[in-house]
Amino acid sequence: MATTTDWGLPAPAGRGAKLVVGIGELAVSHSPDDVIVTHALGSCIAVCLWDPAVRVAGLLHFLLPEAKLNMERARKQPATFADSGIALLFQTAYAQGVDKKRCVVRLIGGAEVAGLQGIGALNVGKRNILMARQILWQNGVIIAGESTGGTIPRTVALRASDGVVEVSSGRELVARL
Amino acid sequence: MSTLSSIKRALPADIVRGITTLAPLPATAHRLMALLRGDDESLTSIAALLESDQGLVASLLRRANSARYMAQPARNALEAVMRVGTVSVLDMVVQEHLRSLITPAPTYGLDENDLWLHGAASQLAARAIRTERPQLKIPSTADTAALLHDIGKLIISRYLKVDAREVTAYANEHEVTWSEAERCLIGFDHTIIGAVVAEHWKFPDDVALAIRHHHDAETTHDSRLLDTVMAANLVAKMVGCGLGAEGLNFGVSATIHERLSLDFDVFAKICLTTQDGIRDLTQQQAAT
Repeated sequence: MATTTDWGLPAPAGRGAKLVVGIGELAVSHSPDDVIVTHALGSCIAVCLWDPAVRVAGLLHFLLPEAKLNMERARKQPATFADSGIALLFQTAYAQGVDKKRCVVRLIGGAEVAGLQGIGALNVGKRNILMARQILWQNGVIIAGESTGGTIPRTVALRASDGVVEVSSGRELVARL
Repeated sequence: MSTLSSIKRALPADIVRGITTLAPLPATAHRLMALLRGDDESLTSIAALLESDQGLVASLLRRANSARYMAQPARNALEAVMRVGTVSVLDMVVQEHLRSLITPAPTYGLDENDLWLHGAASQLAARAIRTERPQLKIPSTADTAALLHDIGKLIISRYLKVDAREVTAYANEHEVTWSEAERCLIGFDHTIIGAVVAEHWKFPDDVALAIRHHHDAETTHDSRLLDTVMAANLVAKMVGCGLGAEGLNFGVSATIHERLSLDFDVFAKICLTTQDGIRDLTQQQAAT
């Protein structure tokens, strides 16, 4: 698998960049002044990682749980799916000195439609949360915090300097992880 | 749609005025709808009417000559209409018209582009659902209904000053959907207003019905067009288009996947197709 993909954002140059990650994209930054932001998280999940020793931060915004849903898309845009995207996020972070054992990982998103509960045919959010947790657990990564579920849309800002994740909905700050 | 007429009588004067003064649909749209109804209309005369709008003709030719149609290039509006089909042209005419009307909808936490993209994504999703489920013979006007399904948000935002945070707070406090909160706070919701707009613009009854009930989780209407619009709205939200303040706090029939024969794999495929379409659309936007 490629390292930073065509779809991933390049490592930032200079100080204090705001890196905006779209759906099916990821970004990893080693510049402490950077903030990685992603908008419009509904049923999608943002996986945020931060290594305090090297102060590298990474954020993946995936849409669907499994690459097998569309293998061609997974090859072209691995960050679309939880399994291929999380693997790529960690590989990209390792290349910048991140150690899995030190990683602080947080999950945000996975909202569900009010009328659709459980694992229904159209319930993407719950499937996404479960898949992300399963992949991380199987790989020995502890999830340090979550702001998941419910029906609210979320925007995430991850600070590379201290790994703080701010989650907002509209103009309201809903969580600081 | 007599119920809509009675609803209209009960609406605040500002809202009614907002609907009745909304720029009328172009004549081309009405004539295309007449043609679709089987009225005595000529494609040649409609094409001639289209020729008067150079921007639209350019879009039409671009679509007709895209790789999807793989044939000799269409040279004029008539050839293009014959290539892409009457419904696609109607979609384009309505899309252009809607685009000219779109303004931010702060009541819903949506900026101008959000509202537009949500309609466009829903339209793409409706088309993808129809493509995936040809056996259901879903009317192609589902695409148009999906495009227009949130037009009521535009009217409400223009004529009522309601704070999105107030609606969200009410919905959270009373554990109701956003539409229910709208109805409790202002007496009606965007689906009602949208249906009145559709009626005012003389869209077919099934289009107005789909707009009216697209958040009605308990709907008993047996309409694949309505089901498609409901699912298309869901897909648009899944791909992050137009989440706004409502987010995913809206009603959806719990059995919609059965009526549309959608399992998760097909639904995921529709989401990906829609996301691709939105990417193409935004790239086109950026290029123009």
